[in-house]
Amino acid sequence: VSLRANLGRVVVALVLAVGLGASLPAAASKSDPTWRELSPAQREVLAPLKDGWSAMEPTRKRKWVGVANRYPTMNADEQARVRERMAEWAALAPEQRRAARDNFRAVRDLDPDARNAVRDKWQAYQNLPEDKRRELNTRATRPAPSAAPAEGANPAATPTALRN
Amino acid sequence: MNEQRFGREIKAYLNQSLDLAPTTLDRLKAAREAALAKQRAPGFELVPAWAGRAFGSLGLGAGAARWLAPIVIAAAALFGYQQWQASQAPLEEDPMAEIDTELLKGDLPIDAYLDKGFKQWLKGEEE
Repeated sequence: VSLRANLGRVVVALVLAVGLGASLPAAASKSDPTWRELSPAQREVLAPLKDGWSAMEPTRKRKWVGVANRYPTMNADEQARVRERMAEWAALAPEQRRAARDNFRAVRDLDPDARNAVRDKWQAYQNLPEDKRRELNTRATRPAPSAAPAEGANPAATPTALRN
Repeated sequence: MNEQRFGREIKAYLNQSLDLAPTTLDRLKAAREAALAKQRAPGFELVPAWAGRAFGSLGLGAGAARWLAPIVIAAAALFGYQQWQASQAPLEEDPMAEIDTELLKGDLPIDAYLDKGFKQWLKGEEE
């Protein structure tokens, strides 16, 4: 068998192999990564989500990849908070997360004084008696007719963002 | 006899043409060609013998190895390269990562953004 004849075969084989290789699905999917496809560092950060990972929608997986990638740039307190809240956040219903993001944006966009005030008020709210908090909760879930005109009458009051 | 002179004499001997009989020359020529033909015979084999045996045992016949082995090897190499390349590229991120990271690392807990009573209370304080 001459070298020349073999070269011809090699060319044919390469053409076929390129077609074959291209038609095979890439095992490492970049947009819907399996748990094993995450880097060791990403797996370590996202460890609280390991059990639910395979059932998670690709968009949310990509979201968590982004969170894990930002993790090394955080300070120790922030890292601890992220790790602590991750499972709780992942367990929420999509509409709850959406509402929480809206409220977060509203607080974030306040001026620093108003933002600090919200933080202090959260502490104070924790110290309210249980029945007072329950009462506020029930009042929030049903429409309050008397509150509506007052709100409209004073739109300059802060924090406006948490108004609705 | 010094070394230089000895060298010159050797050179003179080597430069003399061999005065051999035509039959001897013919035999030498035939032997040389036979040796060359023998050396050329195995040629260049892309497919090793074991591949032929492997294909033969699969019932494909050793001849199939000549065609299939290079394809299989090249496909495996390409597949391996693709895998390697894919493993080097970073995983995709969703833009939602930005806001969720901020929320999760922030100093207010998730509950503060979910508690309707708290929201109601903030509203009440404004009025």
